[in-house]
Amino acid sequence: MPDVRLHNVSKSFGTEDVLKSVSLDIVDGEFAVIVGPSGCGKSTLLRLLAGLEQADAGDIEIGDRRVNDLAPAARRIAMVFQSYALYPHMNVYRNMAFGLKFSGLEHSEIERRVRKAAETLKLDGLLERKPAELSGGQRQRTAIGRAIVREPDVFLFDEPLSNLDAALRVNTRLELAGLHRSLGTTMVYVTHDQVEAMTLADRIIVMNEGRVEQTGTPLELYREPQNLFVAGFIGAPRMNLVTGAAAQEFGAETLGIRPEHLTIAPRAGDWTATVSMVEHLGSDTYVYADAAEAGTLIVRAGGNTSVEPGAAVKLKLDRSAIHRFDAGGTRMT
Amino acid sequence: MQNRLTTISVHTVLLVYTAIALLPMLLIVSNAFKSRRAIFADPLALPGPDTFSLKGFSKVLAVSDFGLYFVNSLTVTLVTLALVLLFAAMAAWALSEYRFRGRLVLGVLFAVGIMVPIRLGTVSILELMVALDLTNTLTALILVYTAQGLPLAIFILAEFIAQIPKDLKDAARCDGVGEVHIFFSIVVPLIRPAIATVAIFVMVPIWNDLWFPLILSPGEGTQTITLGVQQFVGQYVTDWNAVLAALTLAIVPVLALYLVLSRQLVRGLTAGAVK
Repeated sequence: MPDVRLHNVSKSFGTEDVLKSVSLDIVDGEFAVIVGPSGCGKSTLLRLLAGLEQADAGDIEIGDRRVNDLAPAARRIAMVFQSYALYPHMNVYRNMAFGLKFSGLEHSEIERRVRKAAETLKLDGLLERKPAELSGGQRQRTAIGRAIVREPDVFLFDEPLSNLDAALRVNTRLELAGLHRSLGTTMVYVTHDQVEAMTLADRIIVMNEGRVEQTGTPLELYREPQNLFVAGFIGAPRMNLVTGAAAQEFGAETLGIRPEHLTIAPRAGDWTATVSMVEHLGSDTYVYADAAEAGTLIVRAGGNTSVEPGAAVKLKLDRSAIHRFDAGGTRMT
Repeated sequence: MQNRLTTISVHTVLLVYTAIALLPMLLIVSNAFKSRRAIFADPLALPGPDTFSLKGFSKVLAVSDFGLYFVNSLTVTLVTLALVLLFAAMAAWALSEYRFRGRLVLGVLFAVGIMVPIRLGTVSILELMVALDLTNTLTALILVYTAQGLPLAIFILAEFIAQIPKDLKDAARCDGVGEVHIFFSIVVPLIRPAIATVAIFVMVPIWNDLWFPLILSPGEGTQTITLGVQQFVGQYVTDWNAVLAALTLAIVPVLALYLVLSRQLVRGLTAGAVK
């Protein structure tokens, strides 16, 4: 079983500690998404897994093997880079076949694997093209194909969608999810985009400043964020975080309310607020309201909401869905 | 308007420079096809029906071992070129890719090699060659020229290698490609334009050099073209027909090599690699 396990892994570049004693368990076959703001150490973590950087301390295990001292190729991983990193002077076929040539595989087997991957990824007609003659999506698929043909134990993705335009990103996201279903291979996917994380992941690992803040299924993280960072990071638009007297009323230092758990009430409500801005998205309307007690709040209202900026409104909160955090930012039960 | 003015002035400067650079060559080539009398009567005139003569060429080919000199020059130049490009690219790759003890010192040493002209060491080089029993061999020239060409070549190639995206090398490492193959299958193809540039830089001074052939291998069988031409230059009488014809012939191969290499220069090979 090629589980991926990290135990107290640390890494620093010079005086900067990029990873601070990170421990992590990724189960065989899982689609794990590591998400966090830029500079949180998520890419470094992936490069440590790939063997492109050396850990300063701790153990990295893939399957039952400790791989700290193994070269990338010996770890049976395949990595897809944010920049795709296609060999510019080789055509699509050779890009995919190049690595296999050094693995001692039969020529016919290499050909079979490349053809099969090309078919899966709809690259059949493009095998003779050079990367410069491909569109962004085709380059992306070539990069994924190069990973597939290796038939690795673990796939590593480093923000693979961030260079694609929005429409293509959604498409490729679906294709990746389908790919994971059909291959069933463990995938570790790094992104800063929480929508990608929510939609793709079996399990999300939220990182911040070199630490793992929380791991769990997308809905666990959404419903029960363990600390203020996760609460603010997961969910769009982001959770309203209220401090001061309004929070102490609920016995908390910080009070978290998702935008969908606030409603604009016709008469009675918890807070009085002035609407400062309204965003119509069609299905939803985001209302930004300034409340004297609670600061600026985002309310997710229905698509037919018709409030105007400047209007005074009452806001009612769903008391069963509030999140309470103590002075240290940890969730209170 | 401003732009146009800049373009015009830039081109004027370039044209003037080109004219200055080409004029001596034109003089050599045009006079090589003239009779001796015509060369002296009007050196700037182009060869006409009255003055046209191939006497110089026939003399060069008949009297001297021109073919041998030619082969010698070509051997020295090409072997040196191959050695310099191979070693320089490897050293540049090592210096820019790997972090190892003494890297900085090595880099500085190569930089010093660019600044100090190798001719300052002529006496010691000659002593060394005598001790090694390499005088009057082409090997001596090849060794000296390789040493002379390496520093600048390393310097230029290291700059280019440093520009190859890190992800490409990482991708290859994840693919299980060994360092040697990464170098030959990925790095070298990607810096081909730079290699062509360096090849021209290295080649021309070697082909044109008179100093080291004269000192290290002036023997009968190892003369290069530049040295061979000298036999027509006398203390009292110079056979200008032959000298000019020999020089004209000497331009041909270096020009051919330049044309081959310069086709590589224009290509931007990293297009489509990343993004």
